[in-house]
Amino acid sequence: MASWLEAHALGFWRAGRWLLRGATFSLEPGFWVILGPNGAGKSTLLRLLSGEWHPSEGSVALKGVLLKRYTPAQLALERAFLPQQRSLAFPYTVREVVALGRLPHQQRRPENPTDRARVEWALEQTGALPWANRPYFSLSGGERTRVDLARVLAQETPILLLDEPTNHLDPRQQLEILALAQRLARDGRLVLAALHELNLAALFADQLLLLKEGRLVALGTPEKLLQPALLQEVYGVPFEVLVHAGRRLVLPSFEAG
Amino acid sequence: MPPSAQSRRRLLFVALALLLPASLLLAAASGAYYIPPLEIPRVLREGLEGASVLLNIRFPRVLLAALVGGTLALSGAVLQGLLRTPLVEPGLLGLGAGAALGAVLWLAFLPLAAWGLPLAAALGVLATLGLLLRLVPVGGEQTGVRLLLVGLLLTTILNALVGLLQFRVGDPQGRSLTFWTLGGFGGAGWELLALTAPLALLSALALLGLGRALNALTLGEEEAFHLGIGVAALKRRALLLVALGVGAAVAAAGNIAFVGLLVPWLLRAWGGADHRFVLPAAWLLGASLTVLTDLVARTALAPVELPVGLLTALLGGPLFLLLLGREGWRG
Amino acid sequence: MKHWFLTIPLLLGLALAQPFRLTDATGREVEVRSTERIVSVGGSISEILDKFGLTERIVGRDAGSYIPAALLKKPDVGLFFRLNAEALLAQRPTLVLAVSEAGPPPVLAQLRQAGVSVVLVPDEPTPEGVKKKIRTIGAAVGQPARAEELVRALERDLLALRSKTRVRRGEPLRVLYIYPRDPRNTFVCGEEASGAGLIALAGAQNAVKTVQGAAALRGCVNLTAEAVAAARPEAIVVPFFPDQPFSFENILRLPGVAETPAGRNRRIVAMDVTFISGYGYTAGRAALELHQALYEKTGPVRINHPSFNP
Repeated sequence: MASWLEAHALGFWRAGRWLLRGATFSLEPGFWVILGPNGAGKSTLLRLLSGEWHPSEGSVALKGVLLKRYTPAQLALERAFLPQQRSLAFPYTVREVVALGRLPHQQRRPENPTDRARVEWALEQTGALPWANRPYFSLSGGERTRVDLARVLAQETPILLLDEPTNHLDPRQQLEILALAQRLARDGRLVLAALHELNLAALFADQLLLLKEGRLVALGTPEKLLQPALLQEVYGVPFEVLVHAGRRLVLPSFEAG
Repeated sequence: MPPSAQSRRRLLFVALALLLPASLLLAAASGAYYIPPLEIPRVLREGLEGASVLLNIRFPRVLLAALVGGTLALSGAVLQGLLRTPLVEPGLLGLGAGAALGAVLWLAFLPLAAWGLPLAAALGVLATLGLLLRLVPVGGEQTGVRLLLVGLLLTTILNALVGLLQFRVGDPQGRSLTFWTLGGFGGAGWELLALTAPLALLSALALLGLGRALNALTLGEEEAFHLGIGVAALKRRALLLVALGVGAAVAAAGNIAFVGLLVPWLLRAWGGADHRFVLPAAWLLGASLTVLTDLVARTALAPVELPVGLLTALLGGPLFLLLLGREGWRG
Repeated sequence: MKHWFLTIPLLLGLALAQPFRLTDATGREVEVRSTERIVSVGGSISEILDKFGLTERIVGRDAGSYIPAALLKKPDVGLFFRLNAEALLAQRPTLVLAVSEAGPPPVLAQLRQAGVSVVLVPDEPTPEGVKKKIRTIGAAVGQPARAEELVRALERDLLALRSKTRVRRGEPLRVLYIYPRDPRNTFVCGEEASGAGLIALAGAQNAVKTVQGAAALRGCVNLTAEAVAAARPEAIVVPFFPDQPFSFENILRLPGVAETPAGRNRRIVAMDVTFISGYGYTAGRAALELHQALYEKTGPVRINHPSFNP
């Protein structure tokens, strides 16, 4: 049984430097989180795994088959991608935006009741249902993120790739989204998200991938990886680890003066 | 999709499907050669005087107007979806002028080979598209405004080249420049229709199938890829088909601006931006509007032939300004 | 006086050296001091100057002057309504004889300022207008007697024409005057356009008058194909140009022409442009030949200018 997503010596060169190099790992269903400072290569990794960018070195395999053997249409049924920067050329309503996620299923047939049902479900799961008939452009940044996540859900794929899904969200929304991601993973999906917040990652992730300057420094559970030495190596600042109410917290420590 | 929006779309579509035959009938019943409309069936049946005017002049012209109008409106809708901005259309981007240049070059060197005119015009459109897309990379901020600006500049330059060619070759006073820049259906006949229809219909049929892909493209090229669309292939295909359609239309009737811009805009305002609705509706509405506009062009100041493009510019230009002011400069 | 016999040649010389004075088409008084170097603007002007024997003195001519053929070797100073001031002045003319619509006005003003005599010749498309034209040119070059000879020749031609038109019965033939421009539009001229004026003289009527809405048509416009058919012309008159290939087929393919009696019977009369619209001294003959082509011939007819046969 081939693993769901497998990277082998994966590397990507652009604008005179390696954005990612020598990444080898294999992912199974669960909630995986990519962590690392800015420029570490989190987005790069996601885009290589989604097939949007072609590796300069190495390869990616999805369910045992090399990524480049898939047509875009086939890929769209296997994995969905939530980008950081979003744009919309025409004034769609929220529901219409989410319905775009159903397009990969409509290659040979028009819209049907199943599509509509999935759209409603996705809206409900992300809490975007109250805005379903409003224009997308009338929403705030955080609301748009949730609508885009709904679109990704509506695409109904076994693999979800999320690039900073908690941007623009307030703490409660962040928790809700990550709880949702965890639920989806528990249901048997592979959810891979790039995050900034170490502690949220610690709270929800099954496994972490730590990146630094384009290299995969470590892969493992939050307990194993969120250690001061490793964190300092990756982030360049000392960290303190606290345990509070059964939860593991890491805090960057700052020497005043 | 809330039922009300969907049923509104359906209603609109039915209305448009009815508008086209109504426009065709109205246009077929009117013209500078006066025949009482109710007499027309009898005139045709009995081959009375005027039957040949109807059959050889009026009917092919009405059909050509529908064909050209539908093609231009559909091409405009596709370009707007492809370039992700509501501010573009074949006429304003310089594609019409490029088509004219292609056609005039062909006429200058191969004046007897009229069959090649639509293809020569299509090549002109492709060349202009290539130049345009090199000068304005799509996908940045303000792409629409930049495309419009460069397009208008290209239009001016290309029209000047067309004029220059005409002054040098065959028309020392350059007076048929107005045909290319302002358009007109005066030369319509069955021959021209037969020459134009294959490319125009082929282009239209193939473009109609791109609705789904253009919907995905609304989110951007990367996201369209993630939704399963081969973006590079889509662009190539769409631009080639647009070039064929616009080339055939302009070779037949000169450059008629604003149809391709305003028809999609109106449709999106009334029925939403789903391209699976907008594309076929654009063809229908574009055809009807052009038939009606041409009716005005050939009867309003009868017996004088007004260039159709003049009317579309007079009506479309201010409407465009109005829409810009109201909807803002988004895109 | 001892040398009285010298006064006679002296007086004669003085008389001959007098500048010619005349009033031109715009009512302006013009003095012509020398006819040594003439620039001729207007096909009919050039044609008439030839009959005065002055072709050799022509040092420049407008783009539309090609009668007689010798003119084609002379420098071209531009289209009559868009003259090139520099090209004109480069020929150092002493006299410019131009049709009254010559221009642009600033160029004419520049010529006058440079000391050139500029005579604008009346250019009305009627027999009376032709006579005025010939007489004005005669006055400008100091050959009034020769001018009267030409006028009399014209009157003889017109008399011959009148004898024919008086005899003919029935409705005057319906004729459309089409100026060939771009192949997608039929450019039709009304009464006052110079080419179309000859039609009435030749005993026919301009069919465009009967088209609804066109009664007041003065110049030339693009007519819709249906309007062309509605005019029901029995013959079509078309000017042809010496430097452009002419084909009857092209005319038959103009919008609406195929649906007219003229188109169906291929009754197309193509006339040299200077002959039909120049209104030179040959105007009478032009009207006569047009009359013959319209009433005495069938099928397509080509009428060349009598002085120009390429």
